[in-house]
Amino acid sequence: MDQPLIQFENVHKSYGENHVLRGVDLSIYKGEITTIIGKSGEGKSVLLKHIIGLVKPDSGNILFDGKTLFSRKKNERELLRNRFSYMFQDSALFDSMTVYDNIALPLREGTRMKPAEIGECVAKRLEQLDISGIDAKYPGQLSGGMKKRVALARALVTDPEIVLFDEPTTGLDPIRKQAVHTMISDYQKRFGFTGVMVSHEIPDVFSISQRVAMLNEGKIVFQGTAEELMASDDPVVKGFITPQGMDLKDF
Amino acid sequence: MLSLIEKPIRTTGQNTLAFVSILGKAGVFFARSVFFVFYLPFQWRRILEQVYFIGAKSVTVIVLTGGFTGMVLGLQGYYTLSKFGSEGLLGSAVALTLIKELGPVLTAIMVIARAGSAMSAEIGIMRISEQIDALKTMNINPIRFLVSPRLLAGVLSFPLLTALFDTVGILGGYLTGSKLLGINSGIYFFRVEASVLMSDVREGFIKSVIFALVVITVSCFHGYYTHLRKEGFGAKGVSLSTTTAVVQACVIVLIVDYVITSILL
Repeated sequence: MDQPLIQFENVHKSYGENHVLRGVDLSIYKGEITTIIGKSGEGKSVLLKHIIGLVKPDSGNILFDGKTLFSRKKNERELLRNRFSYMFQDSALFDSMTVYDNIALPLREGTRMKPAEIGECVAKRLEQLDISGIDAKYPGQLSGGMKKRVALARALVTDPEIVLFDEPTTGLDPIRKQAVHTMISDYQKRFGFTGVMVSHEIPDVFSISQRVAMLNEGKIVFQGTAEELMASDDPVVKGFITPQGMDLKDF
Repeated sequence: MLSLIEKPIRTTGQNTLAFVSILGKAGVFFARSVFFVFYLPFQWRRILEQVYFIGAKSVTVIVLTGGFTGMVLGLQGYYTLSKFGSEGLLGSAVALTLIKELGPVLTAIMVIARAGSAMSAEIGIMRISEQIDALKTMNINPIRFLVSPRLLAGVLSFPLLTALFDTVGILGGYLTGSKLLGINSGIYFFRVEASVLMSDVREGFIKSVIFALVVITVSCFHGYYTHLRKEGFGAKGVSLSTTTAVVQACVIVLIVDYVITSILL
């Protein structure tokens, strides 16, 4: 098997008394979508924030292309971050900016594109996500589902190499949910980005994930394909997916 | 018995360490904010937006407070000076008090109330709703993006607002002193012109620039570190940050005013 693009080695993270990550070992491979599942409050978002450097581990290593992330020089880390994009769980849209400015901001600040080119890129993403015509609105004027799609448009507008999705479809209706999954999958196939997704959409999300990892009590208790997950005899894994009423035959 | 002695010593030590730590953090925050002002490319659009917000939108409140401060000075000054038969010196008294002292200080306090509190709340909300983290994920330095334009805009706006405050205040003094109480208007303005030196105006402007640095840094600092507050999280944290920013900025402005005055006198 290839060398993982991102690798967690015995990563620990605590917030005061709360020991969130208790020795996470996880491998994320290039060009694949890896979905992290697990109960709410297990630290999946914290794990995702470690990848982009928003949170530093208390101990353990995070390797990117085989090299420790936090031992790199600051400018090297910044260059690396340019290859990432992050979609936040609560969208984290800039509420004093219009939808257009929210999506255009990474292009204005991170590229030398002309305003007209930026306008084209933004319009294209808005159209792809079926939210054309809302570019002059402010996030506070949008529904939860629309905010999610604007956040997704912002995450994908720079054509990043690695995209981190924190519950990208929570709060969407089934049709929009399917549309977002399809779009992520299509984009991944077209541009070949590496995706890491935190999701509760079981089993829908399995159809677009090449790999699934399960976080339980601060540790990765399973990583493999969706089929391997379904066939797993691990009582923790079974206990988590059984309430969904799932069977391998249904998948 | 030991704990009775130990506890206050420990508390004092902890508070001192916390104070030094915050002071250090604020120092680094200020240094980074200043550094990013000169970091290319200049953020013209954001700087102009902030000049409009801090400067242009404060004009009404500055005109009102400046006018009434000058009018009160005119009234009080007249009755005090008339006891010594020196009403003619009213122009000097009003102008020097405003230009050297009240202009910069009251302008700073008005801007703290109007713009400083808003800055602290806005940045605080951005922090708790992960908007600052979102900037980081886009490789946009939050201090450069949020604080530096405000700092430069403050440095540009404060002296102009102070000048406006002084001018309207002197006119306010003229209204009460001359129009209401009957001092000759020629004498009033002659005294203003004769007594105010360029060094007095310079002192006022030096104060206003330093106050701008203090007000913007304190307001933005408390908003930026809202998430580290131990007393409250979320909306409560933002409200506490805003209150602390306003109170601290006002107190620091008055302390710095005393220090600068004692140096420049």
